[in-house]
Amino acid sequence: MVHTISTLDELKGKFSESKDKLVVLDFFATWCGPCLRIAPVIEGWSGEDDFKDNVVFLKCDVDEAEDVAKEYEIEAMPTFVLFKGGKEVDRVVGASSDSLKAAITKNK
Amino acid sequence: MPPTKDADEKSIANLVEKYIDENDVMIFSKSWCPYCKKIKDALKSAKIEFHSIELDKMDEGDQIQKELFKKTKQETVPNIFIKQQHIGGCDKTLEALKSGRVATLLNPPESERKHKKVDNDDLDSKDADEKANANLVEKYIVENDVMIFSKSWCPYCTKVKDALRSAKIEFYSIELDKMGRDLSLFKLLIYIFIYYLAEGDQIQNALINKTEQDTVPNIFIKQQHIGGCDKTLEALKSGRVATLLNPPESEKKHKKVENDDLDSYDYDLIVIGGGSGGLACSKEARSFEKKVCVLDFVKPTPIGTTWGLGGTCVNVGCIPKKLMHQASLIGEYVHDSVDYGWSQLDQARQHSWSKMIESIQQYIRSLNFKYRVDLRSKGVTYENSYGEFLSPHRLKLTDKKGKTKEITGEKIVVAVGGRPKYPDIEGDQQYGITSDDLFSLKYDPGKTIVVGASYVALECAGFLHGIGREVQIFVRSILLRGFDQQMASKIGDYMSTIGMKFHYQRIPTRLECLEEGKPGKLRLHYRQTLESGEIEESYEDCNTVLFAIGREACTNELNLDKIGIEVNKANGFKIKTKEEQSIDIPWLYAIGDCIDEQTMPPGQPLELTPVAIQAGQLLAKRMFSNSTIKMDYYNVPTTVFTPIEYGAIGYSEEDALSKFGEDNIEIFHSEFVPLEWSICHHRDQVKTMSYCKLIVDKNTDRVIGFHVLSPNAGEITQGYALGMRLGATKNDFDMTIGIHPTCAENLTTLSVTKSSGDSAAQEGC
Repeated sequence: MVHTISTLDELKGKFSESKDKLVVLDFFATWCGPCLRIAPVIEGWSGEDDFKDNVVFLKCDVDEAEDVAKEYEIEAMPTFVLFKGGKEVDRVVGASSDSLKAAITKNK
Repeated sequence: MPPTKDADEKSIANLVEKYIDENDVMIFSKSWCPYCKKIKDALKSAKIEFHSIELDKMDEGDQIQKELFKKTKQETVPNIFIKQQHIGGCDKTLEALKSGRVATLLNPPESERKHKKVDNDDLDSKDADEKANANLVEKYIVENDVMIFSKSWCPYCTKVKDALRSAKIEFYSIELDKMGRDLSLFKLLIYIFIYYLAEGDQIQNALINKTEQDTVPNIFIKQQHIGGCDKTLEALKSGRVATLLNPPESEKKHKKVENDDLDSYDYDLIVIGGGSGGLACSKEARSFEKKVCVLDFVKPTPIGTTWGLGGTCVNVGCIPKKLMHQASLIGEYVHDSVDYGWSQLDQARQHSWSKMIESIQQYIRSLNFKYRVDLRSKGVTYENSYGEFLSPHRLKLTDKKGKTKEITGEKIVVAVGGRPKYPDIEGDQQYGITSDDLFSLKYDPGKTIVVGASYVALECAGFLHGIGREVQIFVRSILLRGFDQQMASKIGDYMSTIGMKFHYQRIPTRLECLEEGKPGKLRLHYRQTLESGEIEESYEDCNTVLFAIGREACTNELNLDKIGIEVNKANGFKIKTKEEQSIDIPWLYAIGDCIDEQTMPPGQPLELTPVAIQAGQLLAKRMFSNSTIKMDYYNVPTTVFTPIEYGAIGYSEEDALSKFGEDNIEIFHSEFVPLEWSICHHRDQVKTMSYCKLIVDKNTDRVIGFHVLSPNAGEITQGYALGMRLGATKNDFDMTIGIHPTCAENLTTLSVTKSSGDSAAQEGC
């Protein structure tokens, strides 16, 4: 299950809820082809045993949530930002599921 | 260089008086003059504010200098006035500074002082004296066009304020019941802060003394006492309020010429409009490390269409147009494919409007995003708000939620572009669409009537037909007004031959909706002038009516008239400029589609993205560095992307004939067949319609006009534009070796002249 974030407050709320768990935030756009292609892959991961108890998957539409996108200086989509304890620990730009999986595995 | 206005002596004298009257310290200066700089520095050190104008930078500078000599017998600069007293030049003013005379002039003894600000000192006890209150009341009345002395709980006060708001009349009100011991901050719309400690009661007393009215609301309009709620509502109804607020031209006083002190502006540059011109100008300004703000806001079309950052070109112009043109060309290639050996493509040919729109809109939205990121990364502040002038340096911004704020800019560039016109007939905005709507239309337009003969009309009609929709074109008089008419008529011939129906002398009169739907069924009523001269009234049914009858600049809701800028009503409400600077106000500039620019070739509207971009960039360089490079509006290459494309550079045949005369020009021309079409049976009827011509000045052999009608004319014309810019002669064209086989090479082998009467048909290879 990938939750949608629309405001910075919502995001901060998710950070507190998640405590020390790895949070993966997918910045996408509805008009971005690669974003649409990788979305179901991530949806799948969020239910898998490997990830479902220790990684929190979130997503954010850059047009709907402009201030969140601005806060994290998103310039291309998709951009995946990884957080621990509310601080950014890594980011992956582009729809490479291999690179993303590697980053998740490394940081969780 | 002749002056921009026929400024006559009297208006110059008035202008000089105005500058002297409206500035406590007024310096007539020249930008290169060291004495001017010396005295300005001295005043700055003494923390004395002044206003200066640079006569060498003004067209009427010479005349002003003459007027000053007449007035003061001083012919040099700096020529300085303090509180309307002539002081003299640099030396005399330095002396006056030293002796204390300047200080005395600026701060006369108490009895002579006119109140501008009300200081704390005057009213710091509960028993604020009567005079101070009377002065305060006067100040409110003088400084606000519509002044309401009110009380917060009073229903009549609320009533009259609501009425004024509905009539969109701005007012200022103070709540007398809320005035007490605590510091209340009142910021007037355009003026400085007032701090005071006075009782509301005492204000009310002062009002009674002045007007013999003891109730609230007590209302003044343009310093005239109107009365209470009832009297004011009556005045609103009778039109008296409107007359008071907008007196006849001769009574209008010019607004104050604002101080150009650098410290008082929020931005070095504000650009109104985030389109091709606005974005280019703002980004260029950043390379000089100026503080820049761009305002962009799209007012939705009558049917609610809107779009993001980037302006007309990106959202509802060049970009989607070219992509749809390409969609229609692909449809033609599918027809061609049979003769090239492809099978079954033609039969399977189908076009989905929604798929095309989806692809195009996705791309456009990625551009909107890219531009936002681009501005951010370059440090330009972007406000998605509608900007309106409150005063020459101050704008009111309104965002899409209705929230407002104000910003000031030392320089302001207006780059608001234009929007399509409606014909002003019944049903036009309700049931008709324009190019603003077409490029994101959520439903297939079906059978379409295009009203208009502009390049927008012909391009849209062209690609709609190319993707398989039935198209009719209603033309009032001629095709492509302002363009070479021989080429325009060839375009018309081509489009008719491939199946589009043109109806000439046909003017729409009413648009009716027969059936709602997406698309619905519409009935366009029209009046047609027949060949016999008779007028016929009839109608045509269709699914969509596209109005493409011209565009107008978006200048009517900026409050330009409030700051003294006039727009050209006879030319799309465009702002008059010279070298992109307003002819009315020196720190206001304008670029792009919204300008009526003196240095542009007459009769040739250059509403093009690259023109706006180049003008914007050169302007930024001139504003913020010592660049003097001006925009050259001549020999701008253009292309119309009709089904057969038309590229042009320089003079049309008509303009060349009228400027140079028949005896002085020679026209070389040729028809040709694009090789790629030569084997396509479906192109049989149009094969020989490609055509090109060069217009040559006989005396110099220079090519002054380039015209090509051909597939890929856009790409062809861009290449030759470089040659035209470098002053290519007919001999240069002839000595340039062509690339074979291309359409472009035809421009290098022209030998048949119009004057010879020989056929222009191509012979062999």
